[in-house]
Amino acid sequence: MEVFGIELQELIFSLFLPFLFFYILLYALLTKSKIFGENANRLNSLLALVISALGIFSLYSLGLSYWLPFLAAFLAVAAFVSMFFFGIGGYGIKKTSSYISGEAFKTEDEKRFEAIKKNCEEIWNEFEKESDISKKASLFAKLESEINNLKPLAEKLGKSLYEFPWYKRYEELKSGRGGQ
Amino acid sequence: MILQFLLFLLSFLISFGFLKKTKVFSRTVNLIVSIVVAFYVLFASTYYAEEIIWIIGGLFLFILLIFTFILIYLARKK
Repeated sequence: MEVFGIELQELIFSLFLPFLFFYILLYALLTKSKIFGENANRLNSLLALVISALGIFSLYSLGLSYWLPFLAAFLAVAAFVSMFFFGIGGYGIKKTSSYISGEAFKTEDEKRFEAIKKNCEEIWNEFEKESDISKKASLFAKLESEINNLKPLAEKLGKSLYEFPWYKRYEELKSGRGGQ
Repeated sequence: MILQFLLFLLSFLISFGFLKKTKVFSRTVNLIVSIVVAFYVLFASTYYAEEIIWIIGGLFLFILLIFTFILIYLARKK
């Protein structure tokens, strides 16, 4: 069956579907980038229509549109294969580096302890740099709640929090404040 | 013929859109300027029709490849 002197199958797979694909992609891109301003939906849709029609017609007149379904199939397979290998590679690198650094041998509690400790250190550094008293108070309260989470973990793991300099200073400050 | 018309429309829409966004001129001046630009593109495209078809075709395939790489990159990103 022929439509406009073109085989129906060719019309659908080599002209209509690539056209639709580019139209939707371009429209989404133009809308997302807001290149013609906030409320330019009509302009965006017209531009996407024109650009995709131009591309498809030029490819058709060059005789390259015949290859588009093959190119699409190749790209789909290539994308899947590359994602698969990237995924495997990334996972392998992550696992190997965690074995080298010793991260892989840590228990869940140890990992959690390290994460909370790091967070506490960051809050403490921020607290020391801060000059505004109200912000300092809120940071101190945040630090206290984090330390309350950290203490049972430290007891469970048999670690002393006094080996960290920031904790010593926190306790000094707290006892000083409590004594006032 | 259809390619020339599409190029005319494309250049008109792009120039009109940018002029509207930048708010340099009034609406009438924007229209006149974009029509002039579009006619210039129309005449140039009739003169260099063959080359323009090749350029657009090549550019389109290039864009297709770029889109694919962007999609792969976005799919990988957590």
